[in-house]
Amino acid sequence: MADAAAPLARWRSIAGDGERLLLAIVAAYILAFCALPLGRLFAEAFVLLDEGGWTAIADVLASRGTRRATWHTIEAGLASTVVSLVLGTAMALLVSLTDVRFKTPLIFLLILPILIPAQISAIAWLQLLSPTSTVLGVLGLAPEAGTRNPLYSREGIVLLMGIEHSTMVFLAVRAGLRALPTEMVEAARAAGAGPLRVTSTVVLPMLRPAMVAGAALAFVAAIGNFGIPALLGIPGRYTMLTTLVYQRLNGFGPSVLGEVAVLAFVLAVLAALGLVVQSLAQRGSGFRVERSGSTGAIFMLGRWRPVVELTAWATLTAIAILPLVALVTASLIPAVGVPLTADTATLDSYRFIFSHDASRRAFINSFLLAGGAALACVAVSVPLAYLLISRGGRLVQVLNVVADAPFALPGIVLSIACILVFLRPLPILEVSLYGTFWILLVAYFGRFLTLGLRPTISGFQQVDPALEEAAQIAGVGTVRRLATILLPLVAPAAAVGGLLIFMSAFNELTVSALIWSTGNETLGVVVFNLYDEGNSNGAAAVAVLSVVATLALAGLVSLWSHRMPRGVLPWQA
Amino acid sequence: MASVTLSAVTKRFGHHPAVDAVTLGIADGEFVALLGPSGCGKTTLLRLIAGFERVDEGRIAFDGRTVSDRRAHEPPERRRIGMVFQSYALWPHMTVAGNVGYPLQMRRTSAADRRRRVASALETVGLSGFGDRRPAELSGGQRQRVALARCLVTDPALVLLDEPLANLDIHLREAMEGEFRTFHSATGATMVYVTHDQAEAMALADRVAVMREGRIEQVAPPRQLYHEPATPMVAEFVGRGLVVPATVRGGNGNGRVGADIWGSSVVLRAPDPNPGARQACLRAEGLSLTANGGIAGRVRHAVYQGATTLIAVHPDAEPNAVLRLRVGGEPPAMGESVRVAVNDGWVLPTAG
Repeated sequence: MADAAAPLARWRSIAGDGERLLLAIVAAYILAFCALPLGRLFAEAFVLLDEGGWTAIADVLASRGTRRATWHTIEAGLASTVVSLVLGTAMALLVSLTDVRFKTPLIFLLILPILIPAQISAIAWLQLLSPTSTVLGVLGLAPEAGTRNPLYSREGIVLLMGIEHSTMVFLAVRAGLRALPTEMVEAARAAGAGPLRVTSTVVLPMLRPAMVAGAALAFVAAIGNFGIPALLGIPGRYTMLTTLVYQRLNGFGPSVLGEVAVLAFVLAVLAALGLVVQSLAQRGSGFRVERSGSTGAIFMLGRWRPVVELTAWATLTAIAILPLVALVTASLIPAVGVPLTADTATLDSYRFIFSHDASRRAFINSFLLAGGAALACVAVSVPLAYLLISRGGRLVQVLNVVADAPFALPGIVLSIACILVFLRPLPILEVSLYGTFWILLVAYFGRFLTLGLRPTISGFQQVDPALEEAAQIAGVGTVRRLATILLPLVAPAAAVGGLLIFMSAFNELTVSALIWSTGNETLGVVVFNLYDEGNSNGAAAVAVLSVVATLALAGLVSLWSHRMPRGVLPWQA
Repeated sequence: MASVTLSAVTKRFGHHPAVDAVTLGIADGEFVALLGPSGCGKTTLLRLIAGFERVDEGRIAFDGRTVSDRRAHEPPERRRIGMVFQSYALWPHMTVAGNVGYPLQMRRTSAADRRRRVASALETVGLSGFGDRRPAELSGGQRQRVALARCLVTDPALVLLDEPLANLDIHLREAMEGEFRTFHSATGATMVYVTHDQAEAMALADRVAVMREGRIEQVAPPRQLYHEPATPMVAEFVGRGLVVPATVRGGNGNGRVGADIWGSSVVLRAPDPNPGARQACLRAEGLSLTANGGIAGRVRHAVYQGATTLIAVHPDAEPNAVLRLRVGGEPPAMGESVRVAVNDGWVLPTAG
């Protein structure tokens, strides 16, 4: 730790004058796009209280709908967390500790949910398991025609959210395994413990903090998930808090804003509980690493290897590959229920979406929104990361936490907060952002800041403070040092941040679901609406195009991965 | 009972052989140190003996029973060994007693027996009453003792130690060296000890195996290693010997030969009386200043060391070489011409 602290202390001593300017810009951005909306949401709850609104709040909380949605949120959240925990931990152990082959494609499939948003995987799964499934139909396994899709149920929601968020557990446990000194395992083996005993008595107990942290993140993601409960739960009559907010606001408009603010507040409290558990667990994970972590597989599977590999691939084929195949094939058939053959295959769905105004607009809107958010967030991330590393201090730490909140909390909470702030006309300008393109952009500015900040921080951490000190000795001021010395060095990391933002924002639905308007649709909204209108083939086609765009971008970034600081690309081994 | 036989053991990482055709026999109850600079393959060799790595070629046998060869590999948990790691590798989620008792638990020892043996092992290392503490609450030296107790609790016949003192400060090291010596004589276990510290190896081991680039350069008792190095690397690595060219004229009997070093006539110890161009190892304590004869050179620098001064002399015949010797009293001045007498030196055996 002393080694890590020394350069940090050195960074801290580099204080400058232009620093105040940077701090002012960064603070203004975070106040406007992160603190203001969330603060307004919390104030709303207290304003209601102050106006004797206790009864109003009590009414909302006491209503059968709220209670049921809250219970469903907790129930499905916890159950799916268990699924994520089991799946994510098992896969992390398999990939990190054993000698299974083809780890890179295995890891890629496990990380895929990061690149494919919930509403698209929900549609893919619905296609896969529907009675008209193009995939299961070929295998003769499709449910009987006319039966209800089995995914329209609590179990379906739990299963899909469990799979979707297993990536978070996988990443947390894999990081924990990397920090686990190899010698801890070797000492147990020398003491006479076989692979299974080592796993149960040493590896899993030592991974507990990582597992708890990963599970807490999975829980927060599950209760804030909108795509899966919306596509599966609304037809399945299993309402969660996110879908209740959506249905209320969609059905009654801004008049029910006070009521949905209370619901968003409940959701935020549940998420905050999960985040507290996560940060406590991470604090408890500080065992001293005295030697670098594992360099390779420790457990040779021997004759069990083919069996284990087959099981892993069968599982991942079922949960990651087959749904995508179903999605692609659904986009190629002329109508629901037609089997896919060489004769029936058609690009009609793709032709349709290019003639469909909302879809065309959505591609442009999402491109502009994602690009704008990426540029703005990176522009603020660089000075903020610089201040965090070089200046530290209470104020900057607070800004860091506030910058995290819009992404850590459910997207629905952020969009309700944005509506509360921007429904009323802006002062001076006298225009309301609600119902325009701009409210989406403002929400994205807050939502995705942290995605750009994290890689930029690790970029700064890998720069030798002496480089800046040398410029300081040469008499260069803070802003120019940042621009001419540090910016070129952290540019690759910041660029990764920008691309991560673009990929997440491009397909995003949770935030835009409540604040889109006609003419200002996003891709996520169009996929959702097309499916909702019964045009599942069109929805599949839009989904396929947006996934292809995201994957192409991810592939492009990976090509430059050797120039990136270590550990900024989540999908890399 | 545990003797260890390594026959032509090779381990490659990629194309690079980390351990290259090593053959070594370790007798039952022997204390052998594997000594060498970092990257010489000593730790890999220890891990091969433990079973954490598989051999690519050759064979490892315990008491004549093969535990590793190209086809078969007995995993470490079945080898019934004790091992002490450089980082101690104490499990942070278990108490001291839990750590020490773990190997017994794996052998399905009864709870009562386990308690008794854990208590006795902790007593042996001077940590009675520490059983309920967590490793995080202990000092470095105490952690090392817990690691030792965990290793001796099962009375292993073979104990492997991977640089166990590298993370301790200097005076703790001396105390722990004594502890290892006591442990060895009390248990009679065969011990293999990896270190890069020659003083530690010499102080502890019955025999020291010096390694370089995956090969064993020489295996010998410490005294012989120092006085009769087999290769230039051993001569230089152990005790900073200086290897110089020497022309051997012939034997004088008594294992001594007459030879010329840089035109000066000297008498050296030698493994054989064969004349010809050879190499000799000179050490500071075998050299002194002399008024006449000896090797002519210039003093380049002097380091005051209290009772003596260590001076470096560059021979006129070979100005790139450095003869180091200690002188008492007033040292010669910098740049002064001096003559160095060779009182003792060792002719290295001819290669192969």
